[in-house]
Amino acid sequence: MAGCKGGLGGEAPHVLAVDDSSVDRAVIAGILRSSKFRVTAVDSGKRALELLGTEPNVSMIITDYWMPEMTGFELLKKVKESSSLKEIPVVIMSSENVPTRISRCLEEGAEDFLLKPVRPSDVSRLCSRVLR
Amino acid sequence: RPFESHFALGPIYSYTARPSLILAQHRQLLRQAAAAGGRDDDPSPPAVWSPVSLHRRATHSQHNGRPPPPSAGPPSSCGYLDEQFCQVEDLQDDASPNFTEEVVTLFFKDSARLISNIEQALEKYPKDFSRWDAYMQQLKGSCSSIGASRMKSECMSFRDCCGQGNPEGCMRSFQKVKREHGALRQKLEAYFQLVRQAGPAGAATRPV
Repeated sequence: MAGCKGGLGGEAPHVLAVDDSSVDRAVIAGILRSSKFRVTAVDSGKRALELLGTEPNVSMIITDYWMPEMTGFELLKKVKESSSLKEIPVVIMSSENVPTRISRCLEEGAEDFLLKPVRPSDVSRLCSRVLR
Repeated sequence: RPFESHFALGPIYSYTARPSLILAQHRQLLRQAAAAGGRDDDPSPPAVWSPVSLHRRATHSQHNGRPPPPSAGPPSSCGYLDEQFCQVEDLQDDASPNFTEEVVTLFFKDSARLISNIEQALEKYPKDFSRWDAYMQQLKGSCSSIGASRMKSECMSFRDCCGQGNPEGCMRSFQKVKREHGALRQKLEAYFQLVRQAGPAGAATRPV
């Protein structure tokens, strides 16, 4: 699969993957790495925000919708409310095709909404659209 | 050696081929062998039968210059795994040579925990369909991620019974989920044993 072009200095874009499922985390990380992204995978919205506070060069966040304690939607809102984080594209993943859920996420500023299981072709599409 | 007799990989291996090419050829043969292999209730081939779904039709293989034997049954009737498993396998490369097995290991660890949670919930929270459904949704998601199609189907049946408020149906479905889980574990263990027997790419000792 063709990889994404790097950012400044040709460095691979850094993607933060958020999913409470260890299986899904492994699969999405594998897909992202095969597309030549640099990947950090965490298991909760809380950990994602902690990492975003210390890691300045996250190019994209891809997060599961349904997670305990903080949903992907809540994470999206927090990112978009933050002056330092709001420019980071956020992509939501979900195993359920619920139109109202999708609209709500897109209205809140999500770049895209992917249905699980996520395929490499979904990530290729993201690369061209989201990481301009 | 049972692996040799059933998968006839001799003509494919080459000392001069790149290791990644040998691995790719090997995996293709495994898939073709699975597609050509017997049904679940077929006493032969032996326990090392690959569980890969028959969705990928066996094309004329290169081994021995002969096409593989025809499929023993319709593609969807015995597919424990669907195309998603192939997608996971395709992510495996030289940098992550054990990716598939790692993901499958995570799946069985996660699914065992979820099944235990559901079992406890069925006992402790009678007719709490939304709780039961929430747990099963997680399990179904994991099944979907690795392409465990038969198990996913039983998860969906369970959720249907939750939606109908049918506790007996839930119990029956849950037993089927557990059976499929056990069967899938056996199949995948046999599959990875086969892969390990084949040895690392480039380490083949069979003559061209």
